[in-house]
Amino acid sequence: MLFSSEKKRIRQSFEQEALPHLEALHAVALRLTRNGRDAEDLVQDTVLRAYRFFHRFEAGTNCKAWLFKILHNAFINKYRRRVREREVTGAIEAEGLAPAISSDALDAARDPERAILDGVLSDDVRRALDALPEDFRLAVILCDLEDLSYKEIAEVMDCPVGTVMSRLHRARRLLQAELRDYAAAQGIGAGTEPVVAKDDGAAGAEVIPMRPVAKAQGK
Amino acid sequence: MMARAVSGVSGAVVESFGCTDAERFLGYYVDGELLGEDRVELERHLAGCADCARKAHAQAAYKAELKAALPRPELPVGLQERLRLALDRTPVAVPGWRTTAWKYAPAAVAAVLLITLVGTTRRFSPVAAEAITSHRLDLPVDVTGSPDAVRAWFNQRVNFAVRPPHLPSATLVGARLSQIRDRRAAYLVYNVRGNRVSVFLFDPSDLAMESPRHFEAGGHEVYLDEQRGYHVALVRDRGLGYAFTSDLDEDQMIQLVSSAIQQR
Repeated sequence: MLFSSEKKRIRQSFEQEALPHLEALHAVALRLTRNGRDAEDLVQDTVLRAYRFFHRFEAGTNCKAWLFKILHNAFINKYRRRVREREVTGAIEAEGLAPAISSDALDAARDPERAILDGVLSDDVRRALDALPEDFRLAVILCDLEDLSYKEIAEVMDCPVGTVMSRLHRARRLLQAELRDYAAAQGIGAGTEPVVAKDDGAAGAEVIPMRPVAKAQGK
Repeated sequence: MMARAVSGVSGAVVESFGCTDAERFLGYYVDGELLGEDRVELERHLAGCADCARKAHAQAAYKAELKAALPRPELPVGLQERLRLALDRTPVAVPGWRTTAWKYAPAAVAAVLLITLVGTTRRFSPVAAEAITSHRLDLPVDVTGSPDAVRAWFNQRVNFAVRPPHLPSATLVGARLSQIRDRRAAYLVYNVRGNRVSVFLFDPSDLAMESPRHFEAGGHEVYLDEQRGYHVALVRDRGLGYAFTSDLDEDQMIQLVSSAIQQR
């Protein structure tokens, strides 16, 4: 009976600490795998693994960052090859992603007050983000979308903080260049100056080209 | 390190960022990563420079707009329920218990209970966990030189006296500012016969450093923790907290720390 109550306590604690981050896990899984079915599988693998090893989670630390680290490891070990195989066969599809962009977000993207991403639809932003090299994309997702600190991102990605800073800097420049292209293609915002400062040479030498992607259809 | 212009204001010497420095640090500022004096100096610059202030505003707006343009999608229908059912079928590990087949081994229940009770009282100190994280990141040092030079460098940076401990057969490689929990820490890096050893000095007030494994050295209790192949020895001495961190084995760590404490 004691054992049963201990298991119940762990389950309750896990539900309180970890499960509130399910949406965040799913969002990051989608951006990493770019495939709805793989994202669901990756989330399930992550949650079950986190539960099995929940005794290793240090109370008082950032549970979301801990879960992201498990998710990233699971992605590397199991899904990355699957994603690359899809890319090689040229069969990248946005299965399950299109409905993920809410109409509110699309409306927000059309808000005339928006000076920088003005005229660029959420679909374009998502496409530009998805086109970033994987490590760059994850750095932007964890910092700009999930609000992790550089130190937490370094833990998730198992790299030094300096590498996180370098990846963020370069990812943002690539992303903005891509978004300016989208805006220019629509005759909006061409020639806008970059928001992120030009490379000052302090950001390391991790130069990885963006993966070419098909631009939005019908825009 | 940033270059700084120095100007006199009302007889006082004030260090300030130039536009080049400010632009380089804007991204870290917008990300909330610029702290302490650097943040104060940058904000002082932004208050007096409309061009840099506009750039800071643009970076913050871009970050906010990116987030607004990519909201988290709704969870797929049924995913939560499927996860809960899967969790019901998943054996949960208890500290020190490795097999996943525990529920099929009633004879082992007594042993499991014992391990559980011991395990739940053994909590890894957050101080040790942070020391390991910083040690693993292995950031470059900001100052090198003799122990006296390192001590002088910290004078204006932390509110306690940093006296680098003497470690046997070790060379002080250098030091940098770090953080333990919510406070600044002096982070000293040593080379001990080819092994990197980090020593963090910090104000230990209100911090839990105790662990079940401990030994006595020079009249001090030293608490040992181990995680991910790293050993951390935590000790209080004359109002300061010390966290010795390395991947040396436990015996080597005990000898190293004992010697360092006894020579203070």
